[in-house]
Amino acid sequence: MNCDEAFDLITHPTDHNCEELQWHLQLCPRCLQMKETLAPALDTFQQVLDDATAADELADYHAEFHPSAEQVAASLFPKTGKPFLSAETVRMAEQAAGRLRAESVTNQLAKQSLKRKPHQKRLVHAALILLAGFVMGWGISLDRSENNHFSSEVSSLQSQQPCLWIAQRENRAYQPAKTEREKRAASSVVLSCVACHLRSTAE
Amino acid sequence: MIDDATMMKRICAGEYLLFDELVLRYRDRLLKFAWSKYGNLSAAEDLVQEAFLSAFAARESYNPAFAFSTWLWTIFLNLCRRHYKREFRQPREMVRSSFAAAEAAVIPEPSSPETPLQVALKTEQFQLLALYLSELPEVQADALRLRFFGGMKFTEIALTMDCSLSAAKIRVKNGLLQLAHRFSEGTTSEGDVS
Repeated sequence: MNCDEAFDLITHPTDHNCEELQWHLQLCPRCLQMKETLAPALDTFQQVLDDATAADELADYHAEFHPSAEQVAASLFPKTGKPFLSAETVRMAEQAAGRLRAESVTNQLAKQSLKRKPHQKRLVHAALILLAGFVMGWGISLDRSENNHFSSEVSSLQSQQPCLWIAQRENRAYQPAKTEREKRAASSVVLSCVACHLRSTAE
Repeated sequence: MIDDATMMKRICAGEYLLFDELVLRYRDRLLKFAWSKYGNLSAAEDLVQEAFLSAFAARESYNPAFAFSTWLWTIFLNLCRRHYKREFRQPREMVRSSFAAAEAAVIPEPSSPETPLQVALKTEQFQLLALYLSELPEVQADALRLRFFGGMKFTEIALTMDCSLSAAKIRVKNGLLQLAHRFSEGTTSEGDVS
């Protein structure tokens, strides 16, 4: 029980002494102080209500032994004044009904929207998670494609013919004896190097 | 025990005598409210009868979407306010004088035998409470009457008084604080005299 509910019970016409409230008052000094502050007014209300209830019970007890249709009628509506019913009063009642109906509809809609809200939140969360997943996936796929592009470039470079100079040197290491064909190859290598290096210097 | 909504449905279908049961259920609470507000028994009973009559006359506009008790109390509160405006231009003085007149009146109305409830409502304690209530702002006093004499929940009070739930609670709380202060003052002054 919270303090708000405790206030409901403190000011309750009949349940103001319930055990639940007593437990709360033992644990909550603020509510206890509130009850003590309000005690003069609350006690008077309770006393008046108890008197009225006792009077009603006494009347019921007598009515059981002395039932009389006239008495019942008199106790319901003693002939004290001139009860009347005007069109204005009826209109007032109809307006009250209209207002209460509108408020009950509004309250129902509010309750329904409250019920819907958690469902909507869940949907939004799921959508966000999906979106985040999609973005992450897209990012990863982009990253992979870039890597693939780089690796393909590397592999394409690797797949290209190796440098003729290095290849020549390696061949020389394995085959020390020079042939005429090799000499021509060497001159072609030099020519290719010169051509290549001259072009790069010019650039 | 048939609930109010079912009873109203049957009344609308033509079982008019069932309305007596509704009158029995709510009459005493309404009477306590009106009697504590005006201190005039005949005016209070007229207002209660008028509230029931108008509820019966406008029975077709009732809808089970809202509680019959809330509707009846709303009608009654509006009637009381209208009566208050018409009859009591200067509320405090008039209410005080009406209670004074009630104390001074020794001749009972011949055509109205007092019910035990009426006798209980004429106790000194009740009259003192009614007097102190009349000194409070009207909304606070009405909220207290609805809570204690009407036995209503705060949500019902809020609907009847056309205010928010927190406003209904604040009205009851502030009203009780002022009443408690007033009763404490009264007890202290009695102690000083003695």
